[in-house]
Amino acid sequence: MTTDGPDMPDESWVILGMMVVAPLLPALHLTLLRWSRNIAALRWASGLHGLLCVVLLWTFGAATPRTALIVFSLWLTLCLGYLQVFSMLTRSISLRLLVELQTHPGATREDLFRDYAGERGFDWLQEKRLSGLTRLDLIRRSESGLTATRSGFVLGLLAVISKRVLALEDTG
Amino acid sequence: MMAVVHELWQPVALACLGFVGFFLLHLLVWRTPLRRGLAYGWLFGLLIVGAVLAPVLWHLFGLDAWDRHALPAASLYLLLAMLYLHFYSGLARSLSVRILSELASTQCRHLDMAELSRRYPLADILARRLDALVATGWIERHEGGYRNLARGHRWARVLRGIARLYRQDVTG
Repeated sequence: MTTDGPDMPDESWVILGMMVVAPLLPALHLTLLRWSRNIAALRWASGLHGLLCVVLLWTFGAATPRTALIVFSLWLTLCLGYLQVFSMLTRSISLRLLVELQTHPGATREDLFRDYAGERGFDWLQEKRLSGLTRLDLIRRSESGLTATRSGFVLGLLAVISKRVLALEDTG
Repeated sequence: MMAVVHELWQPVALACLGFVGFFLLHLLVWRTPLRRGLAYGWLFGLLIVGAVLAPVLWHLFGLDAWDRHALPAASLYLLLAMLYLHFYSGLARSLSVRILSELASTQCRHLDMAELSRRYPLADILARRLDALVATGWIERHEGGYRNLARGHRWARVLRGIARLYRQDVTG
């Protein structure tokens, strides 16, 4: 690690190093996803990428608390940013509507409601989200409907309060 | 342990100062008519203001030279900003979060499907997304239906390519 003086550590090279290894995250994810087609590929890719960052930091003998903070922050920012982009591409309703209108130009609102996501329909979308919530144990489903679990209720309450504080209406 | 705390408290405090500055301004602006819709432009603008505000507040509090902590603090601020963007977009757009908040706003944490559909109709979700796409110039109304504009057309092609690359057969 180079220094400009005793009071001025030069940590910019760590940031540069993180920028160099950043493209490896999507590359790792893509490779794992194409190989395994498993939804956990992103978790594995993030873990491997984090491990690589730590190994590089140690290899160059630069592991101080400050550089560790930089590497951890930038790694997590990168993972969350990539997760955001990936989930937007794979889960966004608006982007899916663009694809639907590409294949069915001139489709009406009713057509889109019925034929959304390869003729699965909008009901499929709700079912997909409810299955996800059930898998995460945030809701329980029964004959009589949906019940929030304790953690689901806490998250829901946090959302209600946050929306009120931020004056957000018509969400979802 | 104390040495780590001693080395890190200032960059962490600087990052948190910037984030608190951003959040207070965010609350303020979101309660005025300046904010329309989800206002992501405002959100990004205020995140930049928060980053600029941090060293100013640091100086006002009479703490030592902020530039010594700039890089670790900036990395951490970026992470806080990314976490907040996840939180905000989940709150504003996520169907799952909306379902949880509907459940949390009932007395017994329970809803039957008919009541969920009444509170949060699927047709409204579609209508809101289509209106937003029309308003932002991605699609246009055409003979009772909708069709992509040039930008929507380009993005639909890109999205189909990316979905194929990631082997995501059905998105949305």
